[in-house]
Amino acid sequence: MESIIKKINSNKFLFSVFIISVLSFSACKVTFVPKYDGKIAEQIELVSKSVDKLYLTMLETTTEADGGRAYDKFAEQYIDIDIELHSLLNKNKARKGNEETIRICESVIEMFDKYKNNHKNNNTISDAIIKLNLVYLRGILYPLAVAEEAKKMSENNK
Amino acid sequence: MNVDFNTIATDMLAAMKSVLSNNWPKVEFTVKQFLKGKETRLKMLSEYYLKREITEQEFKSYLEDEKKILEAEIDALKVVSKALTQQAVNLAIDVILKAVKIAI
Repeated sequence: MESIIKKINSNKFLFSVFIISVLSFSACKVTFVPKYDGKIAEQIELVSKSVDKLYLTMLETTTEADGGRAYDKFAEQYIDIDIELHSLLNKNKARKGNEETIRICESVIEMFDKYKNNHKNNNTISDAIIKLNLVYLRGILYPLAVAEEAKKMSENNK
Repeated sequence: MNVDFNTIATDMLAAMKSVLSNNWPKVEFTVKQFLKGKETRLKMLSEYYLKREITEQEFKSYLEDEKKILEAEIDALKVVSKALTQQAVNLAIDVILKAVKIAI
């Protein structure tokens, strides 16, 4: 009788170990990219709109004549965009497994700063440069948006 | 407990394949947008340079920026690839878990 009870207890123990193993395996999901963040995606869209607004306003409402495109007239808009871009960089730096997005964000800032400093040093900007700055910044902001949207794909959605 | 490992392997492969086929149109669209953008920018850049609206130094500076955009695009595609791998691996794990749970 005692040996039967021992056998049952031993089986119960093995069964419990098995159930615990299965349950811990259930919690084991691989993570290669951070979760999609809708607020960050929204912020990327907003900063892209601000860049569009800065250059399109410059192009459509001002000319180079009589200092119409002096840096000071746009300094505030440049500062606002700079603040948003650094905020995006810091938010991305705080997420694990986000190296690629951080690199893209740093390139956006580097390109934006270069264009801003050129405008500041020349204290004017031609139509051709405005148009090029606009398409190049759109060009580098798009992969940033793609990188955030891609994170949605990591979730199971078969 | 009876676990059919052949069925699990087939189901895992099917789950992983479905991830790529379901997401391929999105990836293809993105790559085409990247190429379209590159074409537009390079056309504009050469046009302004030929018309002497920008200097040689400015022309070269934008070519450097084009390289930065390409690097950013490659990084974005790496994120896509990592996200799809994550989804595929987790679906495969789900297949094993379901099979084991049924066997219990």
